[in-house]
This record gives sequence, structure tokens and C-alpha cells, in this order.
Amino acid sequence: MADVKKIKEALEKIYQQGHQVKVTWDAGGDQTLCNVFIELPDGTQKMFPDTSEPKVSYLLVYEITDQLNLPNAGEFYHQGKGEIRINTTDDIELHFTSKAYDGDTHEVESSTQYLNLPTWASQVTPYLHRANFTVSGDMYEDGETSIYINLEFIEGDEIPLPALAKENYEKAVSQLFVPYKKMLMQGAGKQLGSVFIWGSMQADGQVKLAVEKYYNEVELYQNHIQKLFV
Amino acid sequence: MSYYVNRVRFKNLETVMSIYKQQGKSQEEVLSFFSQPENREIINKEYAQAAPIKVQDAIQLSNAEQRMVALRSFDIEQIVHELDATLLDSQTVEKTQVRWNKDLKPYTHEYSDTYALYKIEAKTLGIDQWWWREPALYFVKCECPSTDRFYYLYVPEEAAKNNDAIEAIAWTMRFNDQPLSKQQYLNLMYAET
Repeated sequence: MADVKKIKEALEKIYQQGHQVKVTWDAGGDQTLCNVFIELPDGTQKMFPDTSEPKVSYLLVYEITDQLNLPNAGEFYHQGKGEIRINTTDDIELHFTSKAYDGDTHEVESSTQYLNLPTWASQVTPYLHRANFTVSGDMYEDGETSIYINLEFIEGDEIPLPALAKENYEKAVSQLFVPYKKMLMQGAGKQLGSVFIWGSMQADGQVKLAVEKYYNEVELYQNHIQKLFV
Repeated sequence: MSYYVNRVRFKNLETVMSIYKQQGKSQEEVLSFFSQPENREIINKEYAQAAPIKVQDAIQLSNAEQRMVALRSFDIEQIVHELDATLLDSQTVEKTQVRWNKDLKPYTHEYSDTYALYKIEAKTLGIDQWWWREPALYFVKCECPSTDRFYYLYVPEEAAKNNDAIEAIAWTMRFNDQPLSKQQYLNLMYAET
């Protein structure tokens, strides 16, 4: 058991200077990153001094990881931030807001969509007997989207895909993600976690796309209080 | 400029033409693969006279993917012939096996099974000779009794040292983590596929 009295003394010292003790964590996907730091009134952040005894930040990280059961390996994630306070009954508390979710796919919804850009398709269809025009994209829980447009030659010489054609297909695919972006991880329970879109151009110039939506189970903690070192 | 044969990229149009030629593609079909005017002009001028790629040239391609796509245009017998493989031994074994018909009734099947042991000098394959490398490669030709397809299986020098095709095919099978001897192969084999 950590020397709680000494930790409290160290925290009190920080509070007396008008500083706060803040925590952020981003755990899961094979790592547990938890950072305890001192925040000054002007928002400046500084680390706990390396020489502090006991190693307050280390003990707090260890306790928070333990109490919140922060994940490391596997497809579980927990991201959050909070503040460490000492309450009126002299307990150390973590006041926090966070999101925990299971990255395993609980449910997949598949559908088919078509992209029809005749002007740009006409620049690709002459090569379809010896090339594949492929479109793919992904969007994860942070809403970041990656889109890949590729004209892959199977036989013969290479013709660069016109930049404008590429740009227009990228824009069109990007538009397909828009409605899903608004739905990503919006609350607790079953939430849309990621979307994948991929497909290739058919002989008629239409790009047939498969859309797969992956859902996660999400737990949200809003202004939650967790007692530490109890 | 890049050129593609079965998705594999080449930098040399002459090589690509020689592979297409070996694949037996017509000039019309090859032209349909090219869109750049300068390439079409070369195909129009040179494809009719282009020589098919030879096994030796295919082996010399430094990129493994390119080698694979070029060698795929040959049938295995042609590769063995063009690499001047030396036949060291050929033996036919008369075999009797119990097989089952579509009604799962057993019947006796008798057939002749021929094995042939070949040797190719390493230098023919463009393999540098070093003291730790075998100066030649050995392989045994066999027929799959289920599919009737022919296979050429690599065997090491130790399996080929007695110039015995049966000893070589026996080496390709294991019992108690040891290769079978010729006698074990001939006397213990109940079924094979």
C-alpha cells in the first residue's frame, strides 16, 4: 500500500501554490498511456519533479490504472481526462470524464452503393479490359478518413490516372462518409465505431462499392468520481 | 515508363514482348494492352519478329516476381528440356492398390508408376558456385496417382548420390521424422497420393 499520507502532503503542497493536478489517459490497443501532471493557473503544464519522494506521479498513475482497470493489450480502449482533488473528508479523488469501448466488432452492417461520375469514368473505362480501377476508404472512431483511388494495371503500358479524375473520386467517396461521421461514437451503448468502403469500377463506368459499418459497445463516464487509495 | 504482365511491373518493353510472344498472344491482343502511341508503334514494328523469351533468359531476370510470371509461360517439360537436364535414372514400379469406387466398394487397381531422376548444373540456373553449395540440383519426376498430374520434386544431393530414382522419391516421404529408404518405400507403402 502506498504511503497515502505522503502523497496527500505532496498534493497539498501543489494546491497551496494555486496549481492543479490533472490526468489524461489513452489506453488500449497494446498500450496504456496515463499522464499525471501539474497545471498552472495560466494553463501551462509541467511534470512532477523527478526527485519528488514518494514518486507521486508514478503512484497516482499506478492507482488510476488499477482503479479504472485501464486496458493495455487487446481490442479494448479507454480514453479520458480528469483532475485529482482531496475532498472535505480528506480522501483523494479522481474527477473525470471518459469513454471506454470494446474494439471488437459486435455487429457489422453491409450495404452496396454506386458512384456514378460519367465524365471521369470515361477517362478510365477504355482501360478496364487490362486494368482495375479501385476505390477504398476508411473512417475510424476519431472521424479521420483515408481514401485511396487507384488505377492498377494488369497488362500493357501504364497510363497515369488524370489528377482531376482522382480528385473528383476522392471528393465523391469523402461525401459518402459524411452521414456516418455524424453518427460516430455519439453516446453510450452500441455505437458506430468505423466504416469501410471499397469497390471497383464496372464496365458501365459505375463504381460498385461495399460499405461496412462496424459497431462498438461504449461506456461513457461524465463527471464521474473515483476514490483513490481506499 | 512501366509495363505490366499479369500485374508484375517491368521496365523493358522488349522483355514484355518476349513474354507475350511465349504466351502465344497475337499482335492484335498485345496492341490492345498498349495505349501510348510510341509503345503501339514499337509493337506494330517489332512484335511480329520478336523472339519468345527463353527459359534461360527468364531465369536471369533479377526480380523474383518477374521470373515467376515469365516462367509461368512455359510448361514444366519445356523448362526441363531447355535447362539441359540430365536424366540420371528412370525406374517403373508395378503397383497394386486397393481403391474405392463411388459406392465405397473396394477394388484392386494395378498400374505402372514411373519415376525419373534428373540433374541440372547449378551454373545453368545462374547460381554462383560456392564451396558450401551443391554444384548441381537434383529433382525427381513423378505422377500423382490421384490427379494424373506430373510433378518435379526437388531432392538434395544425398538423395540422388546413388543415381536411383526410387531412392530419390523415397526421400521425399518421412516416417518418424526420417526419410524413407528405397526398401521401405517399396515394401511398406500401402497407399499414396
